[in-house]
Amino acid sequence: MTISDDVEPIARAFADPEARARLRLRHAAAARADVARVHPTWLARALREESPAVRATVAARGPAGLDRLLRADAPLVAPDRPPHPEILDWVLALWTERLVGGADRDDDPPVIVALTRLAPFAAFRLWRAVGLVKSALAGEADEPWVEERLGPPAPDVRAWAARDAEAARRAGATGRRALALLGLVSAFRLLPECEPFVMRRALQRLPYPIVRRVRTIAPPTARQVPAAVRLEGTILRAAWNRLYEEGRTDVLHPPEDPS
Amino acid sequence: MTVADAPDVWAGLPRLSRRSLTLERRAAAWLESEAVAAAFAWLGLDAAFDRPEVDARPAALARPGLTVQLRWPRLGTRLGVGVEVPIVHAVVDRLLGYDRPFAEARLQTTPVEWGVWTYLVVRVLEELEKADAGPFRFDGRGGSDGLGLSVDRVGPSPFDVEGLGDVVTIRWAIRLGGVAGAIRLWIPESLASYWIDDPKPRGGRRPIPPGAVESVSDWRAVAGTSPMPLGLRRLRAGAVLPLSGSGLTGTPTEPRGRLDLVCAAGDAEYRIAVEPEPGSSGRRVVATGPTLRLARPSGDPAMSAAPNREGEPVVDPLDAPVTLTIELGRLGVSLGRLADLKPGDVLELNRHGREPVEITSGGRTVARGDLVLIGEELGVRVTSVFL
Repeated sequence: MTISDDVEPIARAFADPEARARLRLRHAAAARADVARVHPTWLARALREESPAVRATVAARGPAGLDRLLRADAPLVAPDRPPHPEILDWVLALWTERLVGGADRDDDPPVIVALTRLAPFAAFRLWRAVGLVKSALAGEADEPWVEERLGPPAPDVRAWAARDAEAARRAGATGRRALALLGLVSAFRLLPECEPFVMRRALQRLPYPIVRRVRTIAPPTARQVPAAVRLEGTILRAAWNRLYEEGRTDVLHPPEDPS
Repeated sequence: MTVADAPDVWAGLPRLSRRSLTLERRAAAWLESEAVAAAFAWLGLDAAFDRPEVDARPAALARPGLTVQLRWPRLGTRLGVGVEVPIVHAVVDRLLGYDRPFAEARLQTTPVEWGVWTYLVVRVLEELEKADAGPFRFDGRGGSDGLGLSVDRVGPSPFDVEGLGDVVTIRWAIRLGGVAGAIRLWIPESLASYWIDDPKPRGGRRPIPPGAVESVSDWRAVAGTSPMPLGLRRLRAGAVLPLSGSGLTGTPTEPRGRLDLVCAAGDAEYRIAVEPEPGSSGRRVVATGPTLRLARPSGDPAMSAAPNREGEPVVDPLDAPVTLTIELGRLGVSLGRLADLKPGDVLELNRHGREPVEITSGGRTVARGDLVLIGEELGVRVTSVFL
């Protein structure tokens, strides 16, 4: 058997055992969602349309705490005989098919790093800081460091930020939660720039009701305005660096892809 | 055309189809065979199957539930298996150790249930192959053909019969605990004759007692005809055929007016005048007259009406003029039902309003099409041709 010229470079690349090992790990991670890294509300959602028998089976044998969430929706039925072992295995594998798996990558964009690698409270703090920056750009918060870092906002930027702040207020959140919600609007504008499955994996870290709420403020659009995406990226970096300088996060804003 | 005074249901009726009865007997014997029982044993389900019923049409395609589409690459054809919703749930529930409350038996099927059923189908095919218990034989010898089927898809979408020609439905009523439903197998008619006979006849078969066979006659709901003076060769997908001699009006989704249920038997033809039941999308018809016995017209009227082609031989049967019949659906009527039938009775056709109508010639399906409006009259747009 001969290897054609086209195939040879690929074959050479995968002759490296390390490359093969990395590929194997990525496949394994992508093939199955790690439910420990998925917010429980997404797990409950994945089972919402399932049959009572499937819900009860997963509640009894699935991740800890899931049964409490499912019981809050509807009472769980009790089996009266042992399940068929093969079918039990299939059900426990199939119920997560709506969830997305995957592994962290060195070239993950900052918004993905923020959503997937920060502890819940650190993430909340970051998104609140992002909301604060946008609020300052809208002229609604007195944060002089924002202007020092980003310069005085142009009138159209101020109006754009004010529209987001108003939309977040209309969503009904108040205080620090309102700022965090406003910060997540920035995240939702940056996420469509990522691979769809990576975006979905990142969203699974947030409580599902929060995702729905932010989507009502920043609905997904077919086409993003490049200038708005760049501005959101700048806001995220400014807020992240500020937190790092203040010692309120120990994770650095990841270097961005120059392309 | 003469009309007899009274219906003579015994003359030529019931029109039992030998092929259907044979297939029913073979399908029953196959399911009862030890090899098939062994292939399903691993499931540990205590299911009770009724005697199968054969319908010479792709019946109940649009019934919601779960559809398995199987591909047979070697033969270039497809088969379908339809499982009614309560049975889909009951199988998965019972395999997980639960019994579903009756009130929830018709809830929608779910993705995990489709996944489990996909596994069940693949596993059962493997077991059937291993036990050499496939129902078809092409050379009369066991063990040499294998099943060779692969699963195309499992899900809620209906089985697509497009391009398969005539399709036969085998329906097994099944009871699983307290849940009743049906499983249907749709196979191309051409495959039916390859269904093996009882692989292990045990000391001669018992004759089928007359009472065990429900005497059923096959009736076609004829909406009208459409002459093809230039022959079937001109029949093309996309062509629109007007209905001549049709009393059918209304819309394609809600036809109204008169149509005939027709059953040909020997040299006679039986007709019952019916009208689509309002709101049933043409699925049900109401009898408006008695069963009439008419002399069966000899030959195709288009043949004699066609212009004389003296000196111009017809070189291909497809060039011969024919009259196409547009059928809204078919149904089987048992003798008892036929004897009691009176105007006002409702009969159900085995075609859903959304399914295509059949275009036949001499009783054989040559095309399918959709009802369309041509101005204010109904016609048929041909969607597929089987020539």
